Amino acid sequence: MTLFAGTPFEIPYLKFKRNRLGVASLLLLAALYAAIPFEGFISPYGPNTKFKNKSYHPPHKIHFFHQGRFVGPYVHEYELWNPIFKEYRVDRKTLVPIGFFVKGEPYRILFLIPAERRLFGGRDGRPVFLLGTDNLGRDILSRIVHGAKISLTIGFVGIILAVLGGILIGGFSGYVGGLTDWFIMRASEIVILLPTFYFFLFLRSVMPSDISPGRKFFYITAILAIPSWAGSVRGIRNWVLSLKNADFVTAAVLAGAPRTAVLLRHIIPQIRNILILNITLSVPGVILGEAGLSFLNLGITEPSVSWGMLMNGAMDINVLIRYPWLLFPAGIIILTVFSFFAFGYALKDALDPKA
Amino acid sequence: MDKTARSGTGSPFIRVRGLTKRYPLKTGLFSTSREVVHAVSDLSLEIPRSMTLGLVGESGCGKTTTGRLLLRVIEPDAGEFSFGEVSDVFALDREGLSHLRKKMQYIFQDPYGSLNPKMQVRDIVTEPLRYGGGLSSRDLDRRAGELLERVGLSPGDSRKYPHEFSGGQRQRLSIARAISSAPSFIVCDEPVSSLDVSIQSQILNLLLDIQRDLGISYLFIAHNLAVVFYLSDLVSVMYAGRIVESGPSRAIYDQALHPYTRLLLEAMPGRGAPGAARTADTGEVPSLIHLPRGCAFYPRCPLRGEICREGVPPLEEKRPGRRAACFMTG
Amino acid sequence: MKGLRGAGSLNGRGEAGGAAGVDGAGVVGAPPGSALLEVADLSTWFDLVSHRLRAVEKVSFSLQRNEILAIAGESGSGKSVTILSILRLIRPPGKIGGDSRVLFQGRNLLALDEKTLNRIRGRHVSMIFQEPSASFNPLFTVGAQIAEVLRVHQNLPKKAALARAEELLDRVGIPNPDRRVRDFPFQLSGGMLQRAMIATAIACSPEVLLADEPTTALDPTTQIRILELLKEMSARSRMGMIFVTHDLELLRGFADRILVMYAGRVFETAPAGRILEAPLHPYTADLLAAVPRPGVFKDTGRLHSIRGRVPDPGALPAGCAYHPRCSRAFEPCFREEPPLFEKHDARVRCWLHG
Repeated sequence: MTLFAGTPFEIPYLKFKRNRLGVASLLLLAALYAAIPFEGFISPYGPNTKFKNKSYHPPHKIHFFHQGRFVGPYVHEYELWNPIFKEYRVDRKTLVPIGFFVKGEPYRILFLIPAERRLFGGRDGRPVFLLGTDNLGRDILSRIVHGAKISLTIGFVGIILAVLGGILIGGFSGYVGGLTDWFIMRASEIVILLPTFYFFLFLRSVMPSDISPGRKFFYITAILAIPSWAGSVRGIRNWVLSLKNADFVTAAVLAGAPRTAVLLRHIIPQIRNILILNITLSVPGVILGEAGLSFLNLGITEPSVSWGMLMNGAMDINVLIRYPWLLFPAGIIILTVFSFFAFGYALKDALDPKA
Repeated sequence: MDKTARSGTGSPFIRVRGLTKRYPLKTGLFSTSREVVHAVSDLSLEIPRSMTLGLVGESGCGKTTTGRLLLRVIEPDAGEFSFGEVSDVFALDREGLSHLRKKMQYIFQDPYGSLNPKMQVRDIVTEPLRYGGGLSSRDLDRRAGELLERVGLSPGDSRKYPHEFSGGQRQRLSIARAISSAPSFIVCDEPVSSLDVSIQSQILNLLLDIQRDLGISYLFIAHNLAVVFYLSDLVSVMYAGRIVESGPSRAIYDQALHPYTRLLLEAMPGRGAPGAARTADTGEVPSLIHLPRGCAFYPRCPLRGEICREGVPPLEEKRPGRRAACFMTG
Repeated sequence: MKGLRGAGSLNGRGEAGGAAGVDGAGVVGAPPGSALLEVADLSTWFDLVSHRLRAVEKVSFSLQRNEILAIAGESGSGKSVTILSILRLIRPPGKIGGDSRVLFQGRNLLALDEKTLNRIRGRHVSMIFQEPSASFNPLFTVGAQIAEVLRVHQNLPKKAALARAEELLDRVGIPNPDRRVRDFPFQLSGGMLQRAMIATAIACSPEVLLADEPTTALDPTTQIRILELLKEMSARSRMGMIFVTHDLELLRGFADRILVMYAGRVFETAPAGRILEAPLHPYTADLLAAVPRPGVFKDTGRLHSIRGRVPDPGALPAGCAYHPRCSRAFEPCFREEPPLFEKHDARVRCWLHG
């Protein structure tokens, strides 16, 4: 007797909806990804815009009331008090009102549409640094927003490639069996045994150094994808192995289906849910991998921006003690990784018929 | 596509001789063990056109394996299988076999595992027509509707997915798929065992109707004797990988020749009540690995004698049309 | 042992006062209170993601000493859920209704606290399941698992418990019990393992044995021998047995009384011989007619088949649950669900007998 009423799609959907953390994470991630094309609009300044004499500027505190009256959001200017140690003092006499949809540096939406308005900024053009600046006077918030584009996509593209490779090779291996399967499994085991990070470093060291940022992105993506590929191959191969003997697969063989048709029409479609889960839970690993590489200056480098690369400025503990706002990029990495895991596990629980 | 019998009028439509299948037993990665599971040994059977042969036996006797061997889902180790004009199905190469696939089909026991859950039923039931047939997708759709109607389902449901149907309906879908390529032989592997009692009779009636209309021969594999005897014209009883008795179902029911058949008949619910006088039975399950030299039924047999230990009794004709593999009955 | 440590969903509410106050639950004619086990107004439902599934709807019956009561029904009838509910083996999202009562030795099992109930499970009311291999822990020997029951309930020391385990294996007809007692579950065949499960269940000589389709997974020849064993044991120890099955034919010569369930309700209950020869409810009659009987061949005629299918417990029709499929349905059947009518020694839930 079936105790479930509803299609196999409705039930996971309903169960997922009940997991509030999962839903919140999904919304957050969707928002982050959706914001990528609008990075120019959301960030007050460009990623490499330097402000003279504003190095290591602390985050502006936002005030709303001035002398007892509500005047809207504004900040005070900060005066460079100690140029050697870059310490600032608040100058309460100055008022920099924050406006919305202010005219700022020109930029292009999606590389095509020129635009000038930005979400917010100092109304009269004076800088507002919500998260402070780095050693070259660049606004950290803007750099984080621009870094999202690389950090969020490099993981995804890499994983998709890995999974596609996994389907082809793992599917083939599981279906064909025999000696071929044995060799492919041993090969993937060797890749898995290698310590991931050192493997990255090795591959990175053999990467040519004088290539364009575009090609660099591609190479880094490929490097990050390889360890995930090995895991995918094994996972998919195991699934194919167990499905090979299912009655409906036998029925397809008896219907005269050639081997490729059996694999593609009957076996692979069954693993759709597993794949989605796999992808979701692998992305954070790749994001952290990229962050790690870039942090060591081995991944994304200037003039591109990625979150890991932003962490590079926070390497020195002495610097951090003085200018702790340099850690904000770590916060966004943590938030993103956490959201992927929360969403992924909520999805896993929703798809699990026994939960 | 009726063909006249190839050689002589007495040659049955389906004839299997000496079918054998052994599985090597692996005890470890580098095992040198030569032990073997004798799943099916020297099996022979015949099925006339448009008739049903019921294959009965208890679990582990090899009946499901036999069904799968005939369709070459598993490859046999020995044997000949003549099927209509084809002199030996087992000797066909890949290409020859793929042509034959349309003529032989299979119905599975499990209504839940035998249909691809991610495929629409119209694609499932027309799958045998899809490869090398040259039918357009509109033709296939039309055929799907016809098939659904033939098995008692609504053609409008053709875009649904298997999970939207009940167990009995799914079995009907399996039947629809099996008849879609107009086969002349279908192996039915316990098609009603997983269904509710009130649905079983619906499916059995459907199978009978289809046989009558399309002239299909069935190999009906089951362990429920009442169902097998109801449906089958001929019955073969299996024990430890061999046929121990075969003949017309009514004749066997009225008087079984082999002692194991008698045991099975007595165990039929309704025929022999618990506690009614019956032959004593140790219930020992025969081992398919260490086959004895003589008759495998020896330990449980009330008729056993010394001769039964010395060699496997051959399946021979004891009366016209009745065969049994036993030294002690005549 | 699997299954005997379920999570109940009721907190202890003290003991019910005797069997008085239970109406219509006992066998007609027997003095009230003499029943070994009485189930009254048992309702069990499952709160699923999409809706509430009512598996058992106000079922009442009683079991006498030395009686084999069979509960017969198809899938979705609620028969398994019924006996699981007796021992409160229903886990969330399942829930047993607050009005339900299961009276045994003067106490309502559904109202006991878990600790007391555990002393009853396995010791006074025992259960065997359909799949014997799923009921044994593959990591321990069969003997050790039988002995465990004895040690937990009767405080026997290890050696004595193992010796008794061997005796029990012999009692259930397992040859070479001294060797089998040291075997692991995978070394025993299905039939043997089922006998071992029976041994575990009767180890403490329970008053009541619940059996959930114990022979469904077995071959016919083994099946009949297990039935014989159960019948013999029940007679010998005056145990009451509730035997759940989907196969009515199996019960010939085995059950004393049969209770037919459909869509969570009792449709008919009567002595076995009576139901099998002259069923009162159309459903029972249809069911018996739909199964090929021994000696019936296809040339004798088509099998009687019941149109439609077992209703989804979440989507029952108005009125009698069977009317869409019933060849004898008439006016009141569409509107109102019939109550259980009493007819001599039977009860039928059908307007035809109202």
